[in-house]
Amino acid sequence: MSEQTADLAIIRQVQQGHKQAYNLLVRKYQYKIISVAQKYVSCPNDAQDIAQEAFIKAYQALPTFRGDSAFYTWLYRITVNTAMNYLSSNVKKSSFVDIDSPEIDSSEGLEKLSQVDNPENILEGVDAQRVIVETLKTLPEELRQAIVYREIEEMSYEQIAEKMDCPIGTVRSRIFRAREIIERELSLLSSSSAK
Amino acid sequence: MTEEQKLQMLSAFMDGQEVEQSFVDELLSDEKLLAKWEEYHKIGAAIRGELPNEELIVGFAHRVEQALEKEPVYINVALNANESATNNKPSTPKEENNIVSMSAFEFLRSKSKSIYHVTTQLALAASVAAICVFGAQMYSSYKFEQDFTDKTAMNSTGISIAPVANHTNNDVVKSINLNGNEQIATDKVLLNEHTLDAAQLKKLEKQRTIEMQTIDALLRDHEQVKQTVFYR
Repeated sequence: MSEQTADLAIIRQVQQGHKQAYNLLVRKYQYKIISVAQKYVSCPNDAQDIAQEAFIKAYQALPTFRGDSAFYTWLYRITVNTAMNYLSSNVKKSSFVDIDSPEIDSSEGLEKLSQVDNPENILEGVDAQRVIVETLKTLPEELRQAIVYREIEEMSYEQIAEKMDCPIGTVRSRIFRAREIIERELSLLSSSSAK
Repeated sequence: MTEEQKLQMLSAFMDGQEVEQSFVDELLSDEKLLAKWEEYHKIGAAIRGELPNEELIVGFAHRVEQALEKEPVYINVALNANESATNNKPSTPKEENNIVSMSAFEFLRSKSKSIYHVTTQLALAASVAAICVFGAQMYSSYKFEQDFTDKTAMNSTGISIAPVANHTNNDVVKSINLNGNEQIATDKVLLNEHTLDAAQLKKLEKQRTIEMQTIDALLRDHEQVKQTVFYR
């Protein structure tokens, strides 16, 4: 089962009425989709809105998803279209900000602002990337190799096993251990920034 | 299964390794496993250099999930129908409220379309077959009557058909070829006056009228079906 078929298995669940299964796809692809949206708009809030809209649109259109292409390719196209629509509608709008706009007063808006502009969050973001990359460097060679083959080279377990000349079970274990070590460092960062 | 085994399975599942359905069900309902799923993918994104600024990620999935709560549950009826057919058991969607089978409409439309096409094709084939059968019947009955008339005309020497039919036997054939079925019928009725009694003639005429009406109706149906299929 490739990653694509794993996505299809999740999509099947959603198409059968298991709405919650879609959250797996949101949590999986949020990083990529936000990054795509960021290429079209400079404002972080706008990138978030575009990404959110893209996920909702994809969910609404999921019953018609046949699986001819990879889910990510399909989601990527939806995101690009959403970003383009956003840009074209924004060109039509005037550039001034209405301070009496109900959006500014809404608690949802304030909540968003606090989440985005919180300096702790910004620092944590920079730190998260740094911690992950630095921890990766300190990993034992076989763990580092295994996770790099998987995440960067996008190799299957079978290919990695062949490359590293070890059983698939070992590959599975190595990748898991690498993730766990990095994740532990990340949670240490989160707990220290929460204090 | 220990906690570590579960996490290892989760790690394998996100890399496309096969896992049992029961594990996927557990993953969907276990917030801790879901958080791990998110974290592992975050690590992958960071390793690939795809991790956006943290301020964009914080709470994003949660917000999308909240927005999704307002959305109905979409069910792919076609898929479920296929699944049910293959598994030989009815599908049981977990969500109970707010269910919209968006593709159900498309599914039914496509199904009704195919049913419609099959029906029209069958109707077309049936009408063509019916026309052929009636045509053959008409032809054979005409052949029989023609032979019968010819024989009668030949056998009853001295009885001229000319004063009644106003033309010879050859003329009859000629008029048949030139003027078509209705003319044939009339001519033959006139010819048969010599050999058939009035009741038989009336019966024959009635039978022919019914046959002609049936053929007309079939032709009309056939035209209608043709127009629906080809000019739709």
